Amino acid sequence: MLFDRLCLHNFQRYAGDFEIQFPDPKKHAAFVVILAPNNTGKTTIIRALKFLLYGELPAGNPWELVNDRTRDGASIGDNVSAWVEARIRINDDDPITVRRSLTVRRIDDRGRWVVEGPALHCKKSDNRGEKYYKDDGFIQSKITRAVPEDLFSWFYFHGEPAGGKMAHGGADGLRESLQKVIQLQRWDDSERLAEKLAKKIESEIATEVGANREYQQIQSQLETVQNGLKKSKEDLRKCENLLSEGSDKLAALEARTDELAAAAAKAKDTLSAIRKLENSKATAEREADSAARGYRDRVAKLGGLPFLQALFDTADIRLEGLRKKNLLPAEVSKPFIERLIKQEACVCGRPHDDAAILSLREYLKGALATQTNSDLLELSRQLDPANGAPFRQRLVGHSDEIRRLREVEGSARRRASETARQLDELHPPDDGELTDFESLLKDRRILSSKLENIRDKKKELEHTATKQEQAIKAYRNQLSSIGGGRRGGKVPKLNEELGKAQNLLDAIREGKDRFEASVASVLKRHLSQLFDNAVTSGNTASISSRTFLPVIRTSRGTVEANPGGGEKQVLELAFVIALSELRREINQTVRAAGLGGNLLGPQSFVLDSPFTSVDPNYMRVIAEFLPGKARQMIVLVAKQNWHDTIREALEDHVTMAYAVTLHTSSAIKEPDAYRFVFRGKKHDLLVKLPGKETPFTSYSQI
Amino acid sequence: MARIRIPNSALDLLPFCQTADSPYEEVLFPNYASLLTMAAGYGHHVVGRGAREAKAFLKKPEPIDLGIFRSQHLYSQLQLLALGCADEMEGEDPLDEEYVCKLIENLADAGCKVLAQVLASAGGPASFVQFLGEEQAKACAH
Repeated sequence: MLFDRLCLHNFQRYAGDFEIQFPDPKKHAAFVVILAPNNTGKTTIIRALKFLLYGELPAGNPWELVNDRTRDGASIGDNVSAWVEARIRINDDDPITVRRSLTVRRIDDRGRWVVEGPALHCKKSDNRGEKYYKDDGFIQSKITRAVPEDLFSWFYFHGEPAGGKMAHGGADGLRESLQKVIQLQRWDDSERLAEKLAKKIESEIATEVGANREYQQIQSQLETVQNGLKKSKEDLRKCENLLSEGSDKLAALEARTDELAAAAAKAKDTLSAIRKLENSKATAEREADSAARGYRDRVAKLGGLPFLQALFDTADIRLEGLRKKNLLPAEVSKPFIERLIKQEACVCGRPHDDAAILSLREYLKGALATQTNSDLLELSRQLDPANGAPFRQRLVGHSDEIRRLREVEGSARRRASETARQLDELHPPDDGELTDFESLLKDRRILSSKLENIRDKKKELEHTATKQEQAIKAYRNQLSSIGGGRRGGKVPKLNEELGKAQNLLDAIREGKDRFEASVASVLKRHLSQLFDNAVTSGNTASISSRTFLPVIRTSRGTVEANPGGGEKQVLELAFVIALSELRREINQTVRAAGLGGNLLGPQSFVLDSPFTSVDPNYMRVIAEFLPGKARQMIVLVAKQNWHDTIREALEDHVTMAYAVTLHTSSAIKEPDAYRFVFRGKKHDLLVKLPGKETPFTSYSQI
Repeated sequence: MARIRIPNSALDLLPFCQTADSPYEEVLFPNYASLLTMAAGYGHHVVGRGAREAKAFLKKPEPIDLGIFRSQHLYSQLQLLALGCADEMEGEDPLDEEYVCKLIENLADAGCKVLAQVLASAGGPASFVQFLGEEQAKACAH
């Protein structure tokens, strides 16, 4: 349903006549913005529409529908009226003008009124002029079919559609409304009728063969198997639902894990390269340390010996001198010679002569002490070539080895340094990334395995159902033969009818399942197109196969229980737009199938303050989302929401704009709240009235 | 028995000796006797026989008995220095233990002075060890 024009007469806070003309929705999509300060009657527009379409009156005192100022001016016995009139296009066809009015009559000074109406009229023109005809129910039924009252708050709302209750299951009322829209009750009614028919036939058969025990036994067995079959089919449906939901989830997980796989492989390669380089660095450092240790050991081992080389020959000459004097080695000790001189005779008994005494005394002068003898013998041994000249031997190759160890250490240190440089260039991957990937992969394996189990169970159930169907057929044949033999020809005929009734019931159930799947699929398609492109969080929209209400899924495939900021609002807006598309598709399909019904036209939307309770980021998202999403969209915006971000996002798309001005004699504390900027021009929506006149509001196109 | 005193100039080199609280990883000498033997050899390498008389000695560590050098198989190097340096015309007896002690003290003092300077400018014990190794290598090649 689309609106060409809306007029309010003495309706609540609107005294007198107000008219809002909308752009011709036949020509192009209309996006209308109404800028209204607080308390100027934005929400009254929604109430006026509800009164026009369904005749809803204010709770408590219905006469309060008529403007206070108007009623104040009425004397006892006077009639005053309020009405809402609109030129509407119910099915995208030629417009009609409808008016719903309420008349009240003052009966005393204590505020009591008699109410007459409300009544719906349709305006018609002929050659005698224009005339209002009272609706006989025809127009009302067309309106109600176009916009069922249950759905009014989904398309015309203050804040969020349907009071913001639709996400994550919604309230029972919402689910029922939705099921009405997609006409699920028709399927349930058909199923109930088919069941009733089958039971009636079964009852007739039971009556026919009541006396036949065998027949009853078989009948009982048949019922057991039929119940079993019913249970099997229910279980099968549950399996299919689980498989459908699980497959979506698995697809999301597969997509996410595939997306992460390349990054994870790269991270693993980097880690492997880092480990390899770290090992190389450690090896080089160990090699360098080992060479340094070898170098140090070698230096320590030789001590001062290398510096003494020049003395080897001198020492050799002096030792040789001692040897030539027979002082080295000292073959006889000093005390022995001293004792020999004192004894005055040799050990052989011959007395010492002078030469012998002289010789002994000469020897005694140069004789070595025992320790000195031992020290010199040790030095001789170290220098003696016949002994391998250990001192010289220890110096052989020392120079080359010292240099070699130095080079080995230097080379290893350079290698370690180069490896460290290469390590600096490699950035270790984030552990969290790999952990997330492994965790998702695990979820994917578990889910895949669960789905496999469900598939196995489904196969098993299908096999059981086939067996049960065969058993039912066999029992019916048995019943038919028994019935035919004992009760005449009526029972076989009834059994045949029962078979047909059961087939009908199966066909209805199958059709319902297919229809539900198709509805969910169409809704999801529209919803995903609208929502997934609008939000930047990476979350996606989906449809609950149980309730047909929208849910948000995260990139991990889990349901987002508490979307923040305004994501839920975007989801709800996307859903109501998707719902309007679904209704049209169902309508077209039903009509194309030749099943009748009136053509369902495009849906208009009236959004009162849709930016309330939304964070600034989502204000922009919603403002960018709204234009172009419906043939007619009317957005009422309060001053506190008319931020620059919203204004900039909306201005270029607005096809028509209205401003609501408050006329009042009261002092206004915050006059700034009445100043709007639209397309670069300032609008002051406050007019000061002289004296104590009753405040009122007026509309003007800007 | 005769003992060799440790000259003051060896103070900065003592950490290169193996003790319970040695601060360097680059421990080179298992004991003070080894340090003195190496320093005396290096002193002779640098100044030859013209080493000046050492005058200042450390009280701690205490002077080292020659028996310690013998038990560490270092005495042959001391004997070598004595035989190579003693001038008999000057009445120096290379077999006299007192002469040996005096000679080694003087040569060790000369060697320690040079090595302490090298250590101070080497930038660390590792560089000092490298210096000593290169000096050894040069002496061997020569």
